[in-house]
Amino acid sequence: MNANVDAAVTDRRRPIVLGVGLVLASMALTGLVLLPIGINPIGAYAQILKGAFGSINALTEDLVYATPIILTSLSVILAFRCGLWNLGSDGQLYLGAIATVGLGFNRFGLPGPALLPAMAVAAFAAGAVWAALPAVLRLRFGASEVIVTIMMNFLAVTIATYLVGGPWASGITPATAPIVPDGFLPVLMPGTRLNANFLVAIAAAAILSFVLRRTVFGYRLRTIGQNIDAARYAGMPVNRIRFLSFACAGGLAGLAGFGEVAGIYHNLPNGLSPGFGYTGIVVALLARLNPIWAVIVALALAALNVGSGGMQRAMGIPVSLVSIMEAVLILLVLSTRLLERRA
Amino acid sequence: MTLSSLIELSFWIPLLAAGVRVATPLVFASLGEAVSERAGILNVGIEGMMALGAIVGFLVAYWSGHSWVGLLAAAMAGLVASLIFGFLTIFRGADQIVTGIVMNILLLGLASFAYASIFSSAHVVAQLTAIPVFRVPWLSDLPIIGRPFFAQSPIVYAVYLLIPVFWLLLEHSHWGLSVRAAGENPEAVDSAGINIWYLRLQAVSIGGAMAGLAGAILAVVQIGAYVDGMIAGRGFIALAIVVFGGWRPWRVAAAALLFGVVDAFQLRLQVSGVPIPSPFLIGMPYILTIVVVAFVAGRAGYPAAINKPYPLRHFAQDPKVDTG
Amino acid sequence: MGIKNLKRLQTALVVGTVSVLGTTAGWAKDVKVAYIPCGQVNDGSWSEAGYDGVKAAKDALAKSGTNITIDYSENLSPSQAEVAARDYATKGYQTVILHCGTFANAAYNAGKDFPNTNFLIVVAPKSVKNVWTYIPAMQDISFVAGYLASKMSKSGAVGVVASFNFSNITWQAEGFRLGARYGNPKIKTYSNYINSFDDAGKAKEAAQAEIDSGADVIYSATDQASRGIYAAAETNGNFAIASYSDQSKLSPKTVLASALANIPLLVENMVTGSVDGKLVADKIYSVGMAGGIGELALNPELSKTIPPEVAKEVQTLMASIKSGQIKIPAISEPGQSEQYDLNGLKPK
Repeated sequence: MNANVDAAVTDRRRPIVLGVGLVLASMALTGLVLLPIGINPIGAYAQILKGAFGSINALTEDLVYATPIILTSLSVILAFRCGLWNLGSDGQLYLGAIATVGLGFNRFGLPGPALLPAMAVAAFAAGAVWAALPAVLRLRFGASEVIVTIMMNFLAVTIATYLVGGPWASGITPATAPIVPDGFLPVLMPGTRLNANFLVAIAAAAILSFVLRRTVFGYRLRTIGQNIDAARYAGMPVNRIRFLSFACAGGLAGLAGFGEVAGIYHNLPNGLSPGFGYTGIVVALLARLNPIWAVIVALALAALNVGSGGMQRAMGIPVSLVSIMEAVLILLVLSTRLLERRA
Repeated sequence: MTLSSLIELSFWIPLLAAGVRVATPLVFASLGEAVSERAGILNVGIEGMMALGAIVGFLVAYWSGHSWVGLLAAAMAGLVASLIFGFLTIFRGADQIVTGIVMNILLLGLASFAYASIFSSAHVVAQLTAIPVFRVPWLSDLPIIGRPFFAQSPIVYAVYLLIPVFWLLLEHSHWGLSVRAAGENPEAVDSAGINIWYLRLQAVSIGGAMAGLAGAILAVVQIGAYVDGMIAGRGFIALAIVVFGGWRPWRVAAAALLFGVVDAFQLRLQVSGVPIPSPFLIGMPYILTIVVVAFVAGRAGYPAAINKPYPLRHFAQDPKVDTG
Repeated sequence: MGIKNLKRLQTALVVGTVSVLGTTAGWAKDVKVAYIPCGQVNDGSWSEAGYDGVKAAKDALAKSGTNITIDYSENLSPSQAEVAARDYATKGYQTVILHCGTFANAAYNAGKDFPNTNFLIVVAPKSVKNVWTYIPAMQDISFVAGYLASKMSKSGAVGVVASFNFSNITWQAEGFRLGARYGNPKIKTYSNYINSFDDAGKAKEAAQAEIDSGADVIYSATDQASRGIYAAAETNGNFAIASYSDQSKLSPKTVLASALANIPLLVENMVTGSVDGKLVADKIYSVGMAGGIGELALNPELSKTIPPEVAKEVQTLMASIKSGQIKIPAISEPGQSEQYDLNGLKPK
């Protein structure tokens, strides 16, 4: 099953009017849900804005939340651009986190400054390995990468749970023992949780965009995604390029895990990923597979999420309602897709 | 109990029975999804539809006092959800995987919200009375397979009826032929004068209804309660089982059973004296699925037209290049 | 932040003056308290137990003139919990209760950046400055549950189904198995970890696996997934013993008793201590039956099935543990309870 890349990336024009109209429509729709339970929708939306942008802390939290999503969406984009579905970025994130924590105990006695880069490399490699298997099975045996990556997600969580409860247990909390301070990512703004992995994510987006648009590898990759027969006819090493791309996609997701461990938790807790992988897929497609747009969409989604949390705390709305609102908004966007492409 | 008990039938017969139980909701969801995918619609949103079915089924069964009414309501709820999904993917050309993921977010949120809102004050929600196991006369006394297959909850016997129904529907009916063609060669179906969009909508509706039913079976029949998060990935497992079973009803059912047995295996192993199984033992069902999909079933591949919206008539469009 | 504190002080002054005029109780405080559990406040289990404790603290404090407003955030991931905790602290909440083991980092990190707010975290390694950890030592009451189970078992085998192999949950499971051996040294005990808090289907199959091996009383250490255990027990006509809250009404014919960790009481004490500023610096509040944490709530419908001698023995056992005569170990390795020397449990 190949992803139809062509239609997703060709149309670059997106009327601002339509975009604004969508947001208003979804606000109206969710307002209908809020009114019967006695909540003032305008007040609720104001709280979302306040929760997302109302303080330095809120702004940094937007960036913190966006960081892993940017990386997983880049992971999906890279794979999708050569016609493969990466539904396994969650599992690859976990493997990256496992590698990060494993090295982070510094049982090998690495010198201080070398630890953090070593952890990042290990996380990338672990994610890449976790993606390499589905890639091989797909390219060599035709096995659906949709299914294999989903299964690998479950497997990754199983391994992480085992490590948290068993060999790497902290002894009391449902998390592993902490990593050594040398392995902490530097905080960009004291007093907040904004750490350097945000810069890694931005850099990754810039690099991916550059690779896709201005390198031979990127050109070949895009050709494979748009017209695989033409690529083969042109003599490109199709399978090798696809394999490399998918593995690198896994590596990107692994870096998301690295960021969460080295930057936020400083250990590997139970329930590390609340579905960053799947959110990344949504972001990737909403951004029409453009790495730079992915950063913007991820930031927007992060702001919505963080702001909704603030709204939930301020107004006592159950958290599940927030998911419903976000989903309705995205469904509305999806409902206009076809029209948009024709415009 | 020691590991030597592994060679005794007293270990394997209850394990087989457990496998049948675990497989039951999975078979419902997978059969429906197989129909949907044969028509060319991949519904990643089964997980959410199962959750919707679980809460709706539980609420209606709770209020009405009858389990089957709950099951019926759950099927209808799943159907409605799949209509939304179908509308977006068939008539709006939305990508099936993304739409499915967003449906999951929506429906899981809806289920959680509904339960929290309705039961927040009166928080004692007693278990629904369990439907008793029914021992099929004579068949349940057969050696080895008697107890696992014929001494189960009546819903399991419903599965035995459903599998041949789906098999006939998909492989031996005119409708099934159109559905299968829609998934492999939509242009042919269109030229034959069949309304392919409506046909696909029918197929995905069956998938949604079965998914809703599957969730309700878990909640109403097997557990007797709704618990937030109770679907626990079964919707994604169903996706794998469809591929594992090569999109054919009998094989899908067999795949579900195998999955159920392997899944229940490590739990029984823990009771036999393995204190904490290694993660690979716990992950055995997933590893097995990967192996089978890679080396056996996956070769057949998804129907050719999966996740390719068939363009609506009133939009002029150049034929898209096949990126296969 | 400074302006906020000034405003709070002004408000407190005004409110205080008014209430001094109106009551004889003296200075009245308005305090905001935030509660962040693992799940939902009406889950009938762990999270609800904690919420009951916060509400009880509100009532207790109201009697001494302190008025608490409670706000809560449910179903958060560990990272979101930290966001919430920081947000509450920014908004001037006096106490933030993180009632979930996975929120330890959130508590410590927020505690560092917000020294004027008290943070309470359950099951964490240490208490430091403005962060206090409280630990319900559930192995005590689990031991009693195991004892009861072994006395009520007709088949000579009992089992426990637990969520994760994390320390405080393993203490429960192994505590149960140890207690069962204490009641009947020849008893067989099983444990099963399902790696989930909410997969009721898996809990059911885990319980069924134990029942198929002969167990006829199943102890639940699984949070909401316990529903599956009750389903299995009901189908087979067995008993189950619940955890954290009184769940006898959920399944009146199967839940024999509930091992209450008095989480509400523990949380209530922590919250009142925090609001009144009476918590001891750097103290880990690990409380077992000796501190009032641990009670067996019998199902009134099924209590008649318990023979009077057994009921008396259970009471005696509980008294011994409460007085410290018997100390129940915290066993972190699944299966170790089978090797534990029962002689170490003789009353001193």
